[in-house]
This record gives sequence, structure tokens and C-alpha cells, in this order.
Amino acid sequence: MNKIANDFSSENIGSIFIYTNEAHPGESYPHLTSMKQKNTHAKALRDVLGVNRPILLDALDGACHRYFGSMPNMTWIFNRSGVPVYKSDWTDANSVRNSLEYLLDVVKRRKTGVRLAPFTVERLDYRESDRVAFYQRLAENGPKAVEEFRKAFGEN
Amino acid sequence: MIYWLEMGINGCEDVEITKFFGGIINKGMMDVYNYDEFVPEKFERWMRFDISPSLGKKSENFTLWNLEEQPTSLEETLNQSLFTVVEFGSFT
Repeated sequence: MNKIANDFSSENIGSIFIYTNEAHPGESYPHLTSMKQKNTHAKALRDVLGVNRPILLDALDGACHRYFGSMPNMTWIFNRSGVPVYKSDWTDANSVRNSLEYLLDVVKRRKTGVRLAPFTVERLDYRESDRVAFYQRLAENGPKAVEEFRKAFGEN
Repeated sequence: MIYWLEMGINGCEDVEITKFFGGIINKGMMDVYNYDEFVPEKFERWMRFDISPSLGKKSENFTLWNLEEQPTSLEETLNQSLFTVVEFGSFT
């Protein structure tokens, strides 16, 4: 997602990361109880995991996150007026890139005088699912996070 | 912004925290939303993409804070670019 931010910034595409609740709290990164702690975790997201897009903190009760469906790692695309034009319940760079290319093409077509009317489409997209990498990431949160995930999904 | 650094759960009112970055936070919601363990009865209630807002309709505005502890808003952020990609998530 960092690469997408870089690749499209020259096209006047902004990218931000909104920090939510902790999806898999563990010993190293426990559940949030204060904004100070949320700020610290968000800085770790930047410094340890390398998210270099602007990170903004949602309120501690997740007002913004909950409004948009409170999925743990979803992505939305908005136009300048604050109207959502894409939403995905999971974040996938290929899906986002595909959507941005389509949206930029819409802008180009409109500039040539083509009259376009919006409509809604649903599509099932596919993301890579690397279980080994996922568990390695989960382990960084602490053993508790790993154990709880295994229990929740019955994995050994 | 003094309360930014001081505000935690300790010392909060039972029902609401007021003057929290200029807003009102429901402590009960805050506790439930920031669940302390990944068990279905605590996390499944938040998987509500099915009732998320429809595309094509202007969204509500929300106050957000940058890492320098300064408030901004979703609307103000979105207004800066032709389109804005917004990823939601956390370290964990």
C-alpha cells in the first residue's frame, strides 16, 4: 500500500492510514485504554512496520471506524467531496490499484466531454493468503495473540 | 491538548468522558470496542461491513488526530486530493 501511495501521488491521489482498535491484542501490543497509548502503537506501525503514509488516530471509541463497518483492515476510496467511490472489507493492493486506475480513467473521459453517470457494481476480488507470514506477524503482538487466533479458528 | 496525554480509563466517568479532544466519548463503548482478547464474542460484533455506508453518498465527518497530537478531520483530509485512499487498521 505504501507503493501505491507513492505511485499515484503525482496523480493527486492522497493516501492515509486511520488507526483503529487493536485487532489481535497481545503482550507486546495490548488493547487500547488511552489516546497516548494509541499514539505510541501508531508510531510503532510507522517505525517498526514501515507504514509511511500519514497516520491519523480515530477517537478511542472508534467513532469513524465503526461508522464505516469496523472491519480490522479495510480500505475505502473517497473523492474530494467526501463521497466514497470504492470500499473493500479487506485491504488488497492489487484491488486498490485496479480501482484507482479505473477512477483516473473516468476523470480523463470526462475531460474529453464524455457524459458519464455513476452506477454501483459488486465484485469478488482475490487477495494473497500467506498463512505462514500471517502467523509470523501475529507473533510480534505476543504469544497471547497467536494462541487466541488459533483457538478462535480451530487451527493447530 | 493537556488531556491528550493524561486521559486514560482510570479516573473516567462511568458513562461518558467529556471534553475528550472536544468530543464526547462513551466509556462503555470505548471498553467494548477496544476488546482485550480475540474471542468471537468480543470481536465478531465489529465485523459489520454489511451495514457500512453505501457508495455515492457523502459520508459523515469525524475528528481525527495526527501523530503530533493535533486534531484534523476526515473531511479536511479528503478535501486535499482528487481521490484519497483510506486504509483502516492497527499494529496488530
